[in-house]
Amino acid sequence: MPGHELCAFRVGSEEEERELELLDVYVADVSPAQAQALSRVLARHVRQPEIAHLKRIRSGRLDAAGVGGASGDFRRARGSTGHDGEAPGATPVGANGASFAAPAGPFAAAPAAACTGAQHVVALLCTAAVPPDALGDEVTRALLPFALRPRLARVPRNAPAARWQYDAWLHVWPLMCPPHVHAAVHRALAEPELSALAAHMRTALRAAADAAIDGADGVGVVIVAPDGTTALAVGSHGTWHACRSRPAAQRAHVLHHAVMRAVGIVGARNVAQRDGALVRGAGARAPVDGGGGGGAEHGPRPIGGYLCSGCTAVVTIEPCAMCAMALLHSRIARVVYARPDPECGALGSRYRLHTHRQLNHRFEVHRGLCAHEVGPGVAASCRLEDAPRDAAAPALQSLS
Amino acid sequence: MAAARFGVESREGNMRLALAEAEKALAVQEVPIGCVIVRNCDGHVVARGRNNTVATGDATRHAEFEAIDAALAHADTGAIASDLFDACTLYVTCEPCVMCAAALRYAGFRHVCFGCRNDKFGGCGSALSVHQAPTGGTSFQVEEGVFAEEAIALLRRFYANENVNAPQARKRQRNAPAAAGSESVDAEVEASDVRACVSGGGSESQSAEG
Repeated sequence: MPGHELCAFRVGSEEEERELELLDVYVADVSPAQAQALSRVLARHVRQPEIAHLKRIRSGRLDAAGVGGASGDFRRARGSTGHDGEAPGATPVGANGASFAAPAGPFAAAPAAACTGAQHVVALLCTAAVPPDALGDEVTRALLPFALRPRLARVPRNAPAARWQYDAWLHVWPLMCPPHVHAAVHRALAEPELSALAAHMRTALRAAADAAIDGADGVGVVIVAPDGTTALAVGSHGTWHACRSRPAAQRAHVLHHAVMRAVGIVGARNVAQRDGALVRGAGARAPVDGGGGGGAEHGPRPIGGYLCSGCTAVVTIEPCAMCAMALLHSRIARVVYARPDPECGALGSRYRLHTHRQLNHRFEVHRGLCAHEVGPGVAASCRLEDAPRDAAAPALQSLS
Repeated sequence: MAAARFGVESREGNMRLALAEAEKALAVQEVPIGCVIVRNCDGHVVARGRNNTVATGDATRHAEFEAIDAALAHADTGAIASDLFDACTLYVTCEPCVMCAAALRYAGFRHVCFGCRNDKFGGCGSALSVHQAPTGGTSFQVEEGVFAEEAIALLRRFYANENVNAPQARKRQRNAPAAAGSESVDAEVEASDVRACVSGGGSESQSAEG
């Protein structure tokens, strides 16, 4: 379509998608000569899981206002790795709070080491939940020689789960080792794959438009073989939006969503191949006695692959929980959809089944491919409205 | 009315029917999970179903889907799904997975009774609570724990049969008597393991064997 470049964005887990959240902590300036000794003391005495993802010492240049108060506007810098320098709008937090800076307890026993100029570093002491002078006598004694003057600051609350988070949050406070962020998984879809998938998406959109003209919900799907080109199944919705208003004979099955039908087609293909192989290779495998009374025979493994493993599902709209879980059960490798479904979508909107920790299969999800080519009749499916609507409205003007 | 629906006698009787379906699945090397759909007003068994993922090569052919399809196939052509299932209770031996829970919402069920939990991908409280989600069909109430031990026992038998030579299975059997106190917990974990392994169509268990 002229005027639109093809693109699709990866839908990650909640952890991978979240913006910067800040955690209040106590920090203190310390001279570089003391930094190593202090970090040893802190590592030994102040172990807090809340700050385990953060480095204890922040080196580098200090501006006049101090360090560590980057509470400012920190937009996600997706894909940009060249972000550098101090956080924009960094403001010190609590640096002027008398209760923290005032001489209190052992930390103010001596004046802080001269902390102007570029020769100093900042140490992360502890979370703000526990004031430094309440950490216990042992810690206090251990920290006494450093003559610290703790002050409040804000640091990233969460360990980064994605590369873009690491790259962006690093400028607020140094983070421990980069997360096991897979650059490969994070990448956006690129050519020539993008064009190949867009071609499949247009097939799905046509199937959706046809279904919509027939009165069904306008959803279409293509299941693409691992080779990236072969379409194993094309499915469209067999559920009618306005059930009650249609004659009984024309009513369709309430569970026949496009994805469910397509998964069934792939299954039938695999079974056909399996049975064909069984005939050719009869006797290759001994029957297994069921023990439970049956003793039925197993076929050999399906030659056509295991369910939908390695396949990509190209769908016009974000699959609902039923369809997304069906794809998960089928060991799909990737799902690409055009439009999100904020109400029922289970791959990024209402749920993120593809990254759910408890579930036994993970897959990649990308959204937005050909989103601008989706016509008005090509729509969400799972609302189960009985209200009649214009079923025959032109669904996909641009493609028909 | 609610008492009649969830009355102990009819509840247990119906779950026994679901267990019988699970037995049939076990006999043909399918994941032993069974299901019956019962009309609330008169206790009539509208449909039965059992897992059929291996034979179809389709990971979506869970017992619930089989039963719903059977019910719709025999239903009065004038009825639509939600009218039919609104007045029924579905009994299934293992907690409906996320997919099935969503499907039961679309079908219009309001009452579901299940045996054991499915910790790996149960959609009625274990992995997600799809049954109480705000959108996508009707919400439904669940009652759990009816003949849970029997449901787990079936899954264990399936597991043992499928992996008779697997070292892990032997190890589990050896350890089982020692940990008598935690038997039910172990069993439940194992049951969900089983469903997790084979829900995808059973081919995985075949490959594990081979």
